[in-house]
Amino acid sequence: MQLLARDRQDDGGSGRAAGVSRRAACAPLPSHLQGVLAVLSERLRAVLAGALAAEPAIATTVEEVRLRAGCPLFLRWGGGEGAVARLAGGRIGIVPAGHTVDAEAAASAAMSPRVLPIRPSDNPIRSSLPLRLIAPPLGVVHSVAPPAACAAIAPVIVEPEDIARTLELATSCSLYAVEDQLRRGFLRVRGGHRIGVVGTAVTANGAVTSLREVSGLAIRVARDVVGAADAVVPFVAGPGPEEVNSTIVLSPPGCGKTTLLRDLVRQLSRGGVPEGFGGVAVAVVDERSEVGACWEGRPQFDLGPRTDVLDACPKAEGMLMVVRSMAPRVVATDEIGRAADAEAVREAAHAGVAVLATAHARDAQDAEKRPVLRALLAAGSFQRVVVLGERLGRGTVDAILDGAGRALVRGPLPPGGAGGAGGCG
Amino acid sequence: MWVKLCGAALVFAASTALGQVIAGNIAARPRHLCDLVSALEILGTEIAYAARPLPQALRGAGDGVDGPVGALLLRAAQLVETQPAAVGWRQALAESSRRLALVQKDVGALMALAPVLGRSDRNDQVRHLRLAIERLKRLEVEAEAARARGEQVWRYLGPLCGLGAAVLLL
Repeated sequence: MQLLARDRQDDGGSGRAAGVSRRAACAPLPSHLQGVLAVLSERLRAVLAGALAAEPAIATTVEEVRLRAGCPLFLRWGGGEGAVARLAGGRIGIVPAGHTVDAEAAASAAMSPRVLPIRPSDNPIRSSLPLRLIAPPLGVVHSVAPPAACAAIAPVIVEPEDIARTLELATSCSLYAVEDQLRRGFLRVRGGHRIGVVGTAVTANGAVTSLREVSGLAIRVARDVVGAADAVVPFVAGPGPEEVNSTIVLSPPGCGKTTLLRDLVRQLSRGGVPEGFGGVAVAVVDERSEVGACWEGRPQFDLGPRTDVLDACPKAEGMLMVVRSMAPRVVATDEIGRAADAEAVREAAHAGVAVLATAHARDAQDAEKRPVLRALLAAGSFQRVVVLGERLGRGTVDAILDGAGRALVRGPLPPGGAGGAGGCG
Repeated sequence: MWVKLCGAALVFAASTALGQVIAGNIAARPRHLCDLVSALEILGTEIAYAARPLPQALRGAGDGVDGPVGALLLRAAQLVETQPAAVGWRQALAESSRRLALVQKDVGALMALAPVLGRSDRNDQVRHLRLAIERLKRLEVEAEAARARGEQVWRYLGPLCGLGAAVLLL
């Protein structure tokens, strides 16, 4: 109550309206979202399809759908986060996090609520606070608005059955078939989307054997961005017609590493950019099936005409396998971090093969703090270091460094491709 | 007189047919139970070694067995693609029950799989399938004994009863 009152005072009731749109137009949903909707429980599928149809701008940039038992259905999209809620008049909409709904105004206007931003300092539990304010059981809004207005805006709560059903749909009712994936805490589904899973871990001899009582799912939407690597390719390919510099892409999670790697693979495989670069054989070791998003053995994303994909194979072993078996010029792999991965990178480099890899790190200095990455950088295994950030949207190139740490490009460069990079990063 | 004769013939035919049907059911039960055991064994293999998703695994098991048992598994494969596994399996059983010569106990053993199918890791799935197979095997022995006792009896009892009734009618 206090919070809401202060907030409204700050804002002077000007209502910097954001988020909840009054558009009822139903634009067709982007095709890559069909795979995400297909794995959601029937109830949530209908709700989310409705919410996204009402918010085409969010639909095109949605990055993550989060299901937590007993909590609202959350979405994360390019530049925002929010919860799916049932608004006045029974419509489905999206209430951005960090915003609270001015229920009084909504009641007096008898229409969809205005959404007022609240200051981050007022917002200790960023994601749940606005919904606490509008959720009737807490009664906060009751004191400032008639109960009818509160009842009109209700977050869509994820039930345990939704999670069970989603899990069934994502695994074709076959948990046993995804045991290995589940042990590592994620599932992959058709379309290259990845579902992070949490629950109670089942262990045997100190190792996780499975998860039971699944309580939360994070569906990361994979989106192919053609041209995401446009700014990077000239530094990676060339100068010779078959020359490629070993490159590592660094960024925190969710900044578009995988999307960049995918486009990089495609462009190197295709050739033609930069001028005189002919395209080379690329082997992708796709341990988590995110780069090529293989389904029933075939990559769902175009990776170029000279690309071989070794799907679902452990990175370290896979890199050595493809170097021996497919004679590639470039080996690409996602998210290296273990000592065995570093060993494989060094082996590949000694075999005269360029390596494209990604790793979690904020920047090159941060990478130096991770022993495995530090050893690789110190050994000169990579001639190029690409640092991604989010300053100009997902996929922003913050810097491109050479192997010695000298900056070749200082960013931020805007994300390549249409609409910025999205998808698993 | 002709009417009487016709009536007697009809009674005789109906009684014979009834006897045949009951005898057929008694004879079919062990056969169906045996088929079910083979089907579940194939299903177990599909799950344990190939880790094939449930719809494909059920289809594989259904293809491996002929007759109504094969049809049951193929129908289940079809249903679990669009429904929760438990619901699909129960519905397939309910739909096929008329074509299967099973008694309540047999169906119970199969129903026990409903909350389990696809819901745990490989070892657990195999354990549950093994339990169901053992139960079905015991029931098969029982059904075989019932067949040995009952099949011939019903085959003869039908026409004999019909004949007796016809004689009384005439």
